[in-house]
Amino acid sequence: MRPRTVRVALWTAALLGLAACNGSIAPLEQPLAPGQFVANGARLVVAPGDLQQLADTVHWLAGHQVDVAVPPQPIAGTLLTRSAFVATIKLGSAKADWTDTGSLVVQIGIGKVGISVIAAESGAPGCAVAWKAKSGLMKAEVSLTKDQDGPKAVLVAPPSVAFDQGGLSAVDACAAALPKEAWNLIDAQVTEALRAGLAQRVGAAATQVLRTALPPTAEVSGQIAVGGHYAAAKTLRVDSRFSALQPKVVSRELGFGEAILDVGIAVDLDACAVDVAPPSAAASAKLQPAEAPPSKAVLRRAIALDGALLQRMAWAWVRSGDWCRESGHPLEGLSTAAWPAKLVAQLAPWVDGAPTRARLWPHASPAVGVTDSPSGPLLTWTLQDATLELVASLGGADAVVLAIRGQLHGQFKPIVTQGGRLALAAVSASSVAAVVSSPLFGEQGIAAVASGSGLDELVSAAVRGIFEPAKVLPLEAMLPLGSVVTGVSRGGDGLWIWIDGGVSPP
Amino acid sequence: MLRRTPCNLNFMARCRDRLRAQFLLAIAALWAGWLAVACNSPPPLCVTGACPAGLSCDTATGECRPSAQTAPRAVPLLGAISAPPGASGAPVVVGFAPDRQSLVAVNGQELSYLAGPAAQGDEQPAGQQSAAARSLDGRLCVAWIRPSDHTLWFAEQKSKGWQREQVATAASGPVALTRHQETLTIAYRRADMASLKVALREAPGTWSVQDVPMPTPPANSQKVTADLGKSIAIVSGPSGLALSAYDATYGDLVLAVRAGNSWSVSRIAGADPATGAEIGDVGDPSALAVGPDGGLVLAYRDNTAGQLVLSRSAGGKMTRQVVTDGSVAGPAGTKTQDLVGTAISLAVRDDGRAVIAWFNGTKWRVEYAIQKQSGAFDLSTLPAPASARPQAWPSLSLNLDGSVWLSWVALDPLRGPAASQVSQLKILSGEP
Repeated sequence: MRPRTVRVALWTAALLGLAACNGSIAPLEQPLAPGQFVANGARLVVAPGDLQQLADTVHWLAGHQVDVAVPPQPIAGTLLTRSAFVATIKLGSAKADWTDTGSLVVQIGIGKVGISVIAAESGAPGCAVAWKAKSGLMKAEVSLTKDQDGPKAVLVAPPSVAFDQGGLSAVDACAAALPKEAWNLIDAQVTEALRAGLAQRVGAAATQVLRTALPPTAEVSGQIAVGGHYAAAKTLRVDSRFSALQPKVVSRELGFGEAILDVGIAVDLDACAVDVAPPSAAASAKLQPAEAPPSKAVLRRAIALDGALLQRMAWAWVRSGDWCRESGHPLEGLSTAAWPAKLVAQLAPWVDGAPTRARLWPHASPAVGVTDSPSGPLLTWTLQDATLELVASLGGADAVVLAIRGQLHGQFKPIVTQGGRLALAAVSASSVAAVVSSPLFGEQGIAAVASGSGLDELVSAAVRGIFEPAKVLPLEAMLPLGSVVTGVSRGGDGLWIWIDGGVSPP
Repeated sequence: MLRRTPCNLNFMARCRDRLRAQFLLAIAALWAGWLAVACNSPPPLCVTGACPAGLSCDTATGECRPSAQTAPRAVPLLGAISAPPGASGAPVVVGFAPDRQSLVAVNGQELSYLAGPAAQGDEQPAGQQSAAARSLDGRLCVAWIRPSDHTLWFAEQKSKGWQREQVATAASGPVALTRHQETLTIAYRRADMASLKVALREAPGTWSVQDVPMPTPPANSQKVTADLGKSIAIVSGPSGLALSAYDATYGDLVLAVRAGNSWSVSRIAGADPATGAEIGDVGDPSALAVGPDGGLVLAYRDNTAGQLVLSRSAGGKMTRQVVTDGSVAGPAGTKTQDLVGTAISLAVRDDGRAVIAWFNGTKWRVEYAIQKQSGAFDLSTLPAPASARPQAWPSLSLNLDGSVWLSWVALDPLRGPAASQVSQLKILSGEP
């Protein structure tokens, strides 16, 4: 695959990181069935508030100044030749805007420029001419397009440069005697040489920034190894494609730039998961905006995951068996004293100590949603039927001392790790209409434990243990070098993952 | 008086003849009955041959199934038990009696308290973790931990009571006991739970203690093992002592073999031997036995895969065979996994076939599997009586006559831990 294609394959892998991917993309043997797609499910977005950061990045990439070295050139229609010259053009502030047609226009201010050239006939002494400008403005418009070679980011037109109060003046007295055509041609040559020098640097930088922010890529397919705790590794098949021939800005009224991806997901059914069809909800055709983090960024954009895609990802995650899980670490905060009082009397005489492990068996596919909380968005999930088992030791032998079966609710918090990675941490869980049973409860084996009697604390601690450590999503492999995840926001029923920094290779 | 007695002196001779006739008739009736049973017995489909006592042949499958459970003995035991094999018959069971907080040996209806307040009035509770074995002359030997002062103890049964010996200090459970040639050997954890020791009985009252070398960390790992021996097993084989232990730091199964005076220690499961990469949490618990060819036979739980595994040493390598993964049908067409093998007992018969018993921690049932000649396992669950009392802590005993007994503890959730009882069942008969 071409590097750019690889990058988007990895983007897709990242999107499916929520589906517990732990492998790398490989060619897909067979394309996914059309029904497996979530159209418009994922978008790469640049928020209007971050446009200045795009411009700043263009400026940073182009540099603070552009050195232009121009060789000698005959002055047409005369016997004169304009001498070589070297110019240093200082770049000033930059800004960027989306156009109505979805292209990115970058404007960069140009500082004072002063150049001296000599016009001379061959073998004769020359006359020095000064070219000066107080300031200037360069404008480059780049767009994502597609031709026979595939999608790419290109300059819509040659960048334009306008100089303020530019012009020629005679340095040597003999220069005044030069023909007017020579003056005009010298002016045109210098202006074009400066424009070309600027265009090469600024245009390349602007194209590179757009390609990074909203990468235009070909369709990509792949498969990712996923594995449940108890099951052998399964294959999560992934397919993604742009829904239009060329990605473009579609949310003009909101000022968002976005590239739209269709994402297809399919996974082999694990024996521990229910065999149900994937959610059929269609993704929202319109981008549902999210609030950008208040901090400034070098080059910020977001992966916006539509609620329908989140549903499909949760379906795939559970279907792969990855939710048939057992806590890998001793449970915290689960002393027998913290159990519902009703259970303490029945279980404490038997067990060696607090439960050591918890196991989860989903008997349904989850429904997921996104809600706000004071600490940021939360990914909520509901399993209509699940069994949660608490394991404790009795005389050195581990056994399931408590089984809680019923409706299970939980919340994951997307968190940004110290290293700029995204992880999902279970924060709380609760049960509804659960049947609490244990072989140690006597003949019936069932205890009536009312909600609010400490059962939810028990369920929360167990679910936190089951999903501990927080699931780190493998984003770093697909991001441009140096980029990091900086935040997560809610956008309607979707989730926005904010990414800063990094630039794709030219 | 004489007149009222049929067999008075006057009729003694005739009476004797009548008794002899009745005896012969009874013998004939028994013989005829046996013949009737034998002639009407199912065809010899059962893989273990004629089904042993306590089992009946399922003519549909040709397999022996438990037909009855022996009556529980009215001896409360709670926790892991040991049932060292004897010559024949139900083995003696050693375990912790929660009502007396003491270590007890149960031989039929006879109880012998070895440690704790019931044995010595002023002693702290002791024997929650113990192990038992037979000495060379067949005497019952028991090792246990007294947690109050972290001491390791040993007792040997004598004709009149028990001879107790303190073996070591700074000791912690679990303990494992075996006889290597003539020397009784105890494996135990140091009190810091970070390393293992073995104590060898040089003579009555005289023990030598050795450190078991620590396993080296897996390749590319620097972390030092800090929790070794949460579960251990020991066995004596022709090539020396073998000790299996769980390394909780890495989640690996460690095997230490002592030949002569030198130890070799290796991680045999849970870590990739080539790369050192962790490939699962394996080896808690484990059980050891020796096959007729002298090779090690090892049963252990693979916690990551949820499997009970049987492993045999063959040609310098360990084979791996899954006995059960605990898969059961769950709701909505799903499959779930029972928590199988969190307590394991292993025996290997003279023909090399393994018998494994384990605790199903989800169903709270003792289950066992008898290996067929083909190598496959025939899984069985102990019959659940009407009261469906939870079962735990299986212990297998391979008697000298080849019979295999399964002992376990039946719990009484309604009456509490002190009402737990030990039960026993002969699951395989001895060789004819």
